Amino acid sequence: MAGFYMNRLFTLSKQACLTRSLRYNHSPASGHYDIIISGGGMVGFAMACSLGRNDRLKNKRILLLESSNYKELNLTAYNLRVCALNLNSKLLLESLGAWQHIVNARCSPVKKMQVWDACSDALITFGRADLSEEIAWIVENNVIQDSLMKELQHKNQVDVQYQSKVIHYRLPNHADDAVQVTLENGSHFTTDLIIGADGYNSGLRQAMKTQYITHNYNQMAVVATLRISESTENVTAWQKFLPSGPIALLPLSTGLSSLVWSTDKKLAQHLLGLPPEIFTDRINQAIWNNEDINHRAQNVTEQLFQLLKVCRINSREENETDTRQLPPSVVGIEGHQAAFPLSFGHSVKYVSPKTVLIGDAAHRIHPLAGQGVNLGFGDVAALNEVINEAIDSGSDHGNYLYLQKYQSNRQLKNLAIMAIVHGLHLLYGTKSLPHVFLRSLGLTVTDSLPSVKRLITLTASA
Amino acid sequence: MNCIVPPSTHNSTTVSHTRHTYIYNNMLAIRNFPRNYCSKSTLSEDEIQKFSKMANEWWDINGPFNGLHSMNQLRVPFIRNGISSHQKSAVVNATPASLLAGCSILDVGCGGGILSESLGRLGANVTAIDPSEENVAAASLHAQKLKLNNVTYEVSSVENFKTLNPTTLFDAVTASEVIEHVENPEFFIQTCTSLLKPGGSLFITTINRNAASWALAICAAEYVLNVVPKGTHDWNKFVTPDELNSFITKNGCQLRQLHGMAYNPFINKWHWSRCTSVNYALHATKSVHD
Repeated sequence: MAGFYMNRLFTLSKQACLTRSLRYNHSPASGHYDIIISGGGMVGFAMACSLGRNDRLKNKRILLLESSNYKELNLTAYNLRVCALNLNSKLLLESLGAWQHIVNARCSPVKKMQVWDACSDALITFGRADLSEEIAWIVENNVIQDSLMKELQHKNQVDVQYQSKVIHYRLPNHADDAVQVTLENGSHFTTDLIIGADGYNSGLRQAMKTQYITHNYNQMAVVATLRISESTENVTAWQKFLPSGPIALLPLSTGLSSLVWSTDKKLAQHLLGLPPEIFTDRINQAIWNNEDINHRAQNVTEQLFQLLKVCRINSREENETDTRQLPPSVVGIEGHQAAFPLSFGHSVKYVSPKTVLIGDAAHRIHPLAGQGVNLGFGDVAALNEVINEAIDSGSDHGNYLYLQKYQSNRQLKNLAIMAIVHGLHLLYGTKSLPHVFLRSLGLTVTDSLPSVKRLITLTASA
Repeated sequence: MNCIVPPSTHNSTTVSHTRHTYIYNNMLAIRNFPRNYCSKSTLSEDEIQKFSKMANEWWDINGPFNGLHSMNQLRVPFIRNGISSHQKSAVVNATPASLLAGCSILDVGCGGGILSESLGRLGANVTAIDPSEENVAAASLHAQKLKLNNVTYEVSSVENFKTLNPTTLFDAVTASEVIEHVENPEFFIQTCTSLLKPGGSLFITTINRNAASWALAICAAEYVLNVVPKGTHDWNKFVTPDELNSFITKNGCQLRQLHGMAYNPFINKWHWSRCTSVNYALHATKSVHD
């Protein structure tokens, strides 16, 4: 930790004194920054890197405020929180220079995804049959975070201040006034643009007094690092839709996968209390058990599958196995299981004058499609783009007209993804026959149409 | 802005040959600045009075000038691209942070400085003139607040400016939403082009004169939707693209671009259009051999 600070300090010449006090948070400070980012999570740090690399902002001063401590990356155990990064997120991290640090630490490519239904045999797969293409990357949250922190050390115009809890935001009434930010330790800053990356419980969003639409799923995601029996390359992501919620196994390394099991709160609490062996059994049961199969839906799906095959609509090649690939069985867990609550949330406004929300501060979704942080990284890229556009048009970097452009671009995309994900949650959250019919037929037909699948993949990575 | 004294009605006939640059302090009332009019001014007195009343509202992005703030999204890139594609020599020092560094621009009829400031932020050395003292006061205060040192405001008409600075030439002259307010557009264009270096660019945005512009720019904008204050425009003063083209050609300039602009008042957004029957933007360059 000291090394980190030393490195940063040596790179800063003029503002060394100020920066030191900022960094160590010894005494209250004050000053003006062109941009302040509130919240140093993955999305906040990605935003800081993105702005720090931006040539157009070379003469600007940027501050990132994070309420927690600096955390050194520890790779001994796998982190329980992982992300499935899509292609666009990977491209963003590459462009920020952070991807190389991720590769140097660890990440696991996904070359195939198999999604199936507990109530019928319907399934859908994504990715090339010969596993020649990487379609997503499973990376632990702290590895992503650390890669961005490392990259940010080289950016002189960005100051990072840990242990800095914002207690008050004063948003401007007039276009020429600055945003005022007050910290718990008495520090007071002003800025021309405040970016809220402070998570789903965003204090900045509350200060904006915008409407926030929430829905409690009454579900929790149970997470754990699993030892699996897979002897071959572990490159497939598995997801089974149980009536109580989806269960997913995401590859971490040859013998390890990450579990994300979304289920109702009662069952989640129960699972949390189980000893490792019984917990392992329950996972295997959830993946392998066919007790929820609805035989009528099963028959119809099977007939449709045959029909598609006869009509040669089916996309699968002759040499491809028609039979589904079987998921691995779980042999044990590493460490302990944990759980976090799930909810849906969407801020009606992402922007107000000189104020903008990104990531979970603006929108929070169910992890069933693994889109949460990808949407956040999409926000980072989009906000950086409109800031560039504003500067190239001679406007202030926080110009409201351009922020509004960010809002409409992102809401269009985010709301579409959120609606799809929420729709899937509703469609799969039941055993009722019409729903099972609908989703089984839908999944079977979709799986046989390569163009539609490509479209889904594109949408998911947009 | 309540500290600002209303414009003086005192018209001095003495022509001062110094270049007046006023950066007003919040606490200082404006001196009664002798407004200098040439014998042949293109400005009508009632037009100046009209805009003076609005000076305080210039920088309210939700105020009466929100359409002009929004228009920056089109006209600034139009000017930026026009200069960087036709006058590469004027912007040799450009960096991503200041794309127009080193370029000198005269913004005629700058109003509250909505366009001038944006050009200044792009790194250009902007001289912005407006005959209304209140407009210039409002603009100066704002630029001072933002520490924009490369934008200089002066109370002057373009004819007056030319008389006072007979040898000063600019890389570009802009007159955005101005020519529809002048008495003698042909003389106005002649003066603007006389202030251009050889090869320099003239940028004009204005409103066409036809039935469509009467219906939209006067009836709809001023009376139905109230997006422009009533009485802002006088339809008879509007200039058609053909007239404008003939004026610039007479003055040794060549038309480079002519684009229609369309405004959606409901979302306060401008976009380029093929149709030049209401709002349009023009870019012309002065002949290199003058």
